Amino acid sequence: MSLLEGAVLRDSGESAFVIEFGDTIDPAAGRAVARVAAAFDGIAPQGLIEVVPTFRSLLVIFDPDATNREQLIAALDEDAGAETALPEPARWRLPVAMEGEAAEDIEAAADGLALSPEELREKFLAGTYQVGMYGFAPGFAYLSGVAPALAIPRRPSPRPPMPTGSVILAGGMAALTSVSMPTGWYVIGRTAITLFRPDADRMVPFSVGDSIRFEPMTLAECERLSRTEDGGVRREA
Amino acid sequence: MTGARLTVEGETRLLTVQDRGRQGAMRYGVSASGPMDWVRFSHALSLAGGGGVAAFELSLAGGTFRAEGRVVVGVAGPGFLARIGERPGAFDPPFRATLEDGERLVVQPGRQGMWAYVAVNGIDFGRPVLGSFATNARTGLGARDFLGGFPVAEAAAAERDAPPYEALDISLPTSPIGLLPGPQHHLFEQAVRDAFAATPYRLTDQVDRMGYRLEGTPLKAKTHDIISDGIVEGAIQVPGNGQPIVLCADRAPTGGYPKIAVVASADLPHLTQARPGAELRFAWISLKEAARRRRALVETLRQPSEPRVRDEFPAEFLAGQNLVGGVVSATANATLTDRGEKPAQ
Repeated sequence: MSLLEGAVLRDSGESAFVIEFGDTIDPAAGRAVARVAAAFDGIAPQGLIEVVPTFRSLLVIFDPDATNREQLIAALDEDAGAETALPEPARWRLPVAMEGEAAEDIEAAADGLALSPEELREKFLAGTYQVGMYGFAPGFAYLSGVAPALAIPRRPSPRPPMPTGSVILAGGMAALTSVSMPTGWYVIGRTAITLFRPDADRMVPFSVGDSIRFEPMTLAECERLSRTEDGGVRREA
Repeated sequence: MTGARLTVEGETRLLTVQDRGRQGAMRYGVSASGPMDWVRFSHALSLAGGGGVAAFELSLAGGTFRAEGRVVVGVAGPGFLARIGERPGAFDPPFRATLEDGERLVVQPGRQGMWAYVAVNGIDFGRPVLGSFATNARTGLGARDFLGGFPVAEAAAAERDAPPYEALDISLPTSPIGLLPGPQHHLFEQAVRDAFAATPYRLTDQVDRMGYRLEGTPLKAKTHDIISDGIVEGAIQVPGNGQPIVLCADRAPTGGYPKIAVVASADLPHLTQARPGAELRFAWISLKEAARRRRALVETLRQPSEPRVRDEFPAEFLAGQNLVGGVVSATANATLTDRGEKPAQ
């Protein structure tokens, strides 16, 4: 089966194109994107500069003096027979504090969703989330898998900067923040994880496609874990 | 002579070090960065010689550098003016010169242009970050400590001892600015795409290394809120108010506004060097035409620079450059006279 089944190719200027597997956040599209990204990583065709996976699409950037869209697609088709082995996505448990100053906006978000803060907390902790993409800033991870009951629109106007490692919610998505800046999202929790280490072998702790389940901790525990290397994240067997 | 250095003086907030950009980490949320004007950036490097890959990028705030030992520099940036130590007259980029021990190079904006480049033969910018010397002004990734300056390896004697050399600026394709379809081109009706090319757009004063906001005929899309996808340099995104934003070097790697077009790489410097208030015209061009323009520029940059023929710089010439009355700039207040320095007369 072709890696590009169901995909639409879109132009993006003279040195890039987008392979689009849909226009919504869809786990199947996310898996298809991850497969194509892994295939390009494996083949490393001549002239390919880099790929940028998102929830639903893959941006492919190339050197237009060394290759073109047709050649890159052809390289992918040739590889399709080789059954690109996609590494099994990792499953993570990540402690989150959803109380006090760590969850500054939980009441406002709960109000907007016609839930109690306790219900919001329970529903959020019951979910399994997928790392859909990085973007916006180094290590800033967007998560899919938010329950429809928690799909709240963005705030009408941005709130003041939140600490890094915050869990924020809006637009049917959640995100783990790696920068502190004003946001139109709701701050509902805080983790102790460092999301971007430019000098480390692994720049970011999670790969696109990995899944995360959150487990509750106290704010005091969060402060303790923030002094550890890994912020208390555990890989599940 | 060993142990030469180049130190940076004065205001450095808008001064960055750039190479061609950081590749391979966009997927982790890391911006590409790189120069706002790849043509003048490349020209400065080639004028400086020495095979360097990174240079200083100067904004309208200008920049002041001081040589310890003899240091060969290449400077490019449309409309910018430079002075070297006590030497009479202004140097008009693009040029190459050797700074003598203790001499200062002062580069200031003139009547046009937004970005200038100072390349230094043999400069050591230290360790690259994620494989690149580029600085992301927004997140500070790759930012260098300017305190104490940078070591400079000795340039070849022929380069050190050559007289100052003024080159012709690289000629860019003329307006209108070429557009290629962006990934959400299909979300804009034909009439809207036509309108983008039919009427001028004014550059607002909201311009920085991340993006340039334009103002003109609103561009309505079927939806202005898409699920984010990747963004290339020069992509033009259109938020709900219909006013286009050209995304530049420090753009975030992904974004959720539809992208109607991507500026042809050969035409991007024309846009990024325009000042707030400028009227810009766009035209849809073919991939082939974009490639032709790009290759023509690359080919020109590969050739040795053509010298500019001009006599020494008399006072009338300086007056003509509006140096005496102070350099007027659109968004920065820094001028030669504001800095308390008297232009040569």
